[in-house]
Amino acid sequence: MSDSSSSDGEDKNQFLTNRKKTLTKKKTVAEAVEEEVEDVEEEKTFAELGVSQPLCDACHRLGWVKPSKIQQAALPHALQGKDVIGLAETGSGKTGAFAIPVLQSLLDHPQAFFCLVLTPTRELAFQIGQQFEALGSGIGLIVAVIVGGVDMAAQAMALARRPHIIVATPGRLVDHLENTKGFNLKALKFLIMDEADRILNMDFEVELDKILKVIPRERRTYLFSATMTKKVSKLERASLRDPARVSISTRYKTVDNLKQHYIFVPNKYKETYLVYLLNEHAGNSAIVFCATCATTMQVAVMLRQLGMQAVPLHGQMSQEKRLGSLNKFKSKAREILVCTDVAARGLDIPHVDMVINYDMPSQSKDYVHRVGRTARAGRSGLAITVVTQYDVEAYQKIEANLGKKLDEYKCVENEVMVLVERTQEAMENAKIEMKEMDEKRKSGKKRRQNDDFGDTEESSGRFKMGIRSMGGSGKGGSGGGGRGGKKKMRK
Amino acid sequence: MAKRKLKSSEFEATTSEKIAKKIDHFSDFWNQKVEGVESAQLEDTRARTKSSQKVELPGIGASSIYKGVQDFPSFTDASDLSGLGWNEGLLENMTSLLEETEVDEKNEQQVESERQTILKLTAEYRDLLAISNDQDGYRSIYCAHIIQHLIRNKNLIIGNKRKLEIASTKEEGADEETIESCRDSGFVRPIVLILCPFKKDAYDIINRLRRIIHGDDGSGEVWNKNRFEEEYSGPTELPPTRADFPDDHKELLLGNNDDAFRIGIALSKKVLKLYEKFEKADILVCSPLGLRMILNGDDGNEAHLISSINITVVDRTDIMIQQNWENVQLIFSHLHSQPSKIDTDISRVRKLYLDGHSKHFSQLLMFSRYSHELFTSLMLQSSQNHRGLVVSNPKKSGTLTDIEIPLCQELHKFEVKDPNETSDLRFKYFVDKIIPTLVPRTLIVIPSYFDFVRVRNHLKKAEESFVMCHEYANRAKVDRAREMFYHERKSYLVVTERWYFFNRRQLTGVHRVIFYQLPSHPLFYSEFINMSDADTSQRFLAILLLCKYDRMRLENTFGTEMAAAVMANKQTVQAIVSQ
Repeated sequence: MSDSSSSDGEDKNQFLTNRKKTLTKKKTVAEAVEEEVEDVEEEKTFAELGVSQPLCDACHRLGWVKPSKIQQAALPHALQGKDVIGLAETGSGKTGAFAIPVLQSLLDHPQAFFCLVLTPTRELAFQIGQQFEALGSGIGLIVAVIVGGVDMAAQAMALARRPHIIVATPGRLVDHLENTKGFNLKALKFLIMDEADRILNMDFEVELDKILKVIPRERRTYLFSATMTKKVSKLERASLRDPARVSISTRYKTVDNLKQHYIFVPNKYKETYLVYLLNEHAGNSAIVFCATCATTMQVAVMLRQLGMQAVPLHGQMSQEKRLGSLNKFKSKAREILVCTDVAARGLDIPHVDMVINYDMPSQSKDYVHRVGRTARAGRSGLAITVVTQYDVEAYQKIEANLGKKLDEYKCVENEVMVLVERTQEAMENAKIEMKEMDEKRKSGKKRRQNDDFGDTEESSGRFKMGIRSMGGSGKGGSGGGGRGGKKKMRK
Repeated sequence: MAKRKLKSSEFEATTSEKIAKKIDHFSDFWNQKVEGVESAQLEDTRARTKSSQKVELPGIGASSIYKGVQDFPSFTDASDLSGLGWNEGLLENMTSLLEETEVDEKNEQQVESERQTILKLTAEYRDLLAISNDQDGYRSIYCAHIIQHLIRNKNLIIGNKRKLEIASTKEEGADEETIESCRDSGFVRPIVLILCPFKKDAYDIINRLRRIIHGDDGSGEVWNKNRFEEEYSGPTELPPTRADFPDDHKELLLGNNDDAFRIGIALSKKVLKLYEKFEKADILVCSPLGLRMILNGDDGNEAHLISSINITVVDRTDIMIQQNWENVQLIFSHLHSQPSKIDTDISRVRKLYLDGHSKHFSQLLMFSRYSHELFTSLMLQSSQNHRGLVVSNPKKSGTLTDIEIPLCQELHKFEVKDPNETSDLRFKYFVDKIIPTLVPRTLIVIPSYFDFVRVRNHLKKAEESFVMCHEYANRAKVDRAREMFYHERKSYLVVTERWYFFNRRQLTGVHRVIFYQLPSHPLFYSEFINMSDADTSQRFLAILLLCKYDRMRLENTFGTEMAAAVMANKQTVQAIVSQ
């Protein structure tokens, strides 16, 4: 977990203005207590915040010297036994802020099925599960991660061990609640929602209702997110009691060392510009966000056709492949991750240098989450949003929400246009390949062999040379080791 | 933190129980602590073999004891049945079953002590490979043990259920310790697996189970009894034409000889439910083939059904080796695997199953009329019971006395270093040394079908004049082959052991016999030799290929002492001439 990266002074100001906003808008769920983070200078240690000795030791072992800001703010309330609504970016120590109070309470009253953490994505669930395990390794903590795309029987076995902590995505958890005999959450003491606004959204409505029905009302609830919904009705569903609201960053705030640009392009040449941008910044690791699973796949295939090391990540891939893609990208074996909003939140990959919004984010909140994937932990980063003639209105909304105008990304049109032919050819090929994959999938049985695009790398070398030679004089070496190497031939 | 007090609380329970009841193998068996270190020890077959002890056990003779997690006290008197801690009615029923079989006067002592030893080892939940001809005896014993285990298990589950119900009526619901202490089941319901070769064996075993539960008075309910009678019984008398067969073959022909079956049995209170669905059955009685078909075969993919077996019995293993040993091996490879689907109350599943230690809490009993290297190796591989393993290898007298004609036996010994090379070297020796000396009217006996195919291909290539009898040839073909051999239109006759085992037909026109390897059935060596049609004035010649890995077969046929002498002899070719 990395430290909070926002600077203090500005933070305070932003917070105060934000506070006014929330105060006026709040129709009060309960009488929410506002946290004062004014005197941040006097930082307390974990012990001073009331964290018990075994957990302090665990924190030290993990290299957490001082509590991060969100922890400073949230821990006192949480340790007093209050419900908490926490607003903080990922990477700011959020997991610690809710894990520590849970574990402290668990130490006092050891019990199975003690705490449930709900997250919107599987990747996030694994990440949180690992952190719980790391914190609890010295005290015999049992954690189960229950997400979709993994064998039900193995998970049932994990649940049979009667874990203390369950980290789950809502869908699969409901599946187990309904189908796994002898598993219930009647004794649950803690409910935590990470990326709470997304969980409280419509997407998980049915599942969440089912879960809320089977867990006791007598419990503590923490909501954490980088952005939080204002809608009272939504928060009511989480049935918080007298929550403390703590916040260390403002809504829609982006980090300073992040350079944000937009690039205005004709829709017709959208792919070409993407290729151009990636080529300009070859050698850096980049995330490309697309709107749909299909586009994601298409763009990834196209980039590979052009000899770029791209891996896809979207909701229609199996869990194994998703983890596989993510790990390849994390371990820097691949430079480009093409994904949907599934990867927009929470993922903590420090080395991302660039985020490209290939498709415009549908909400301004999503924009903040997406560009938050780069410029992490004090590094600098670059975010470029591709704006076509159809996206102007949506883009303006985002700018309005951000409260500032972004600079246009400068590029030489002629250089881009050189790429048009190749890109379009690659796009055609990608479409054909996608179609083939679809048909094979439908044709059934041989599915397993053919649908693993995530692993099969088929890149045609003929484009490679061309692109590289055009990629600007000084960047010839960017392709470096093994780009476009044919690892496996299909069939 | 939440160091659950499971271990200690259970431990306390057992010590207090021990005071109340002197011996309780059931609880002791389950309460044994097996964790990483112990598990690794049990899996280390090589080290266990090294540290095994050779002991003379009453009744079953020379035996090797492979240690489990803890030591057992040295062997004490086993005649006192009350020392088992078993249900009395059950003991009574078992005793009356045991008394039923007629025993020769002179064998009585021997049979009695054999039964006592088997009973003691079985009741102690030790793994056992027993060489025994007393089928009625050992069957009654293991059936009683199974029922005893089932009843204890049922009572435990019912007791825990009640405990949980009472606890859940309390205000705060059942507490952690109660829930943890009520872990009492596996992933699936079946906990006993009995493998036997034919439906007639299943018929006999199930009838024994019934009589042990219900006693002899015929009271007690059995579900689907008529269907069972119809499908599993068979003729009890042979047609008179078969009267000249050896006894063991007559026995093979009697009764229902179907070898593809599986039946689930559930026990509830006093009702014995036959044909219960496997998911709801306590005992599975199957032939290797029948079970294999649902593991990953034509009839399903249900390996999870044998993931939580507590007691596995392999009955009449010597017949299974004549059926298809691969099926048995496949079953053992699936036994205790982690299930692919779970449909049970997961809060009641024992920790040991979650930890993958199922194989350490499972008793394996194997019974055979004679020993075989494959049985021992399967036992050593699969037996990981924390209570250890006993392999009996009694002294044998051999079957050479059955030979009725004067003969000269030539034993050819070839050197083998690596057991995996045995079959290659045997073939090489046969081709180099034996084939050049072949004379017409020679019978070549090849026990394994794989070896048979190899030799056949070689003979075909060399364009030798030969015919074959093997298990895949139809009757007409076999008849023709025998006739051609008899009239000397072809010089050699090649037969496999399995063909002979299922047909037992006299071969005619044999002047010399070559054993490519000793048959695993101890009687066959002398039976083949007795087929001789040669002039009585001449000595009949039998040639046998041997290597050091054939020791067990050699003991079965030649007797323990003579086998040792043959093996100790350094000469490549030894001749034994009879008067």
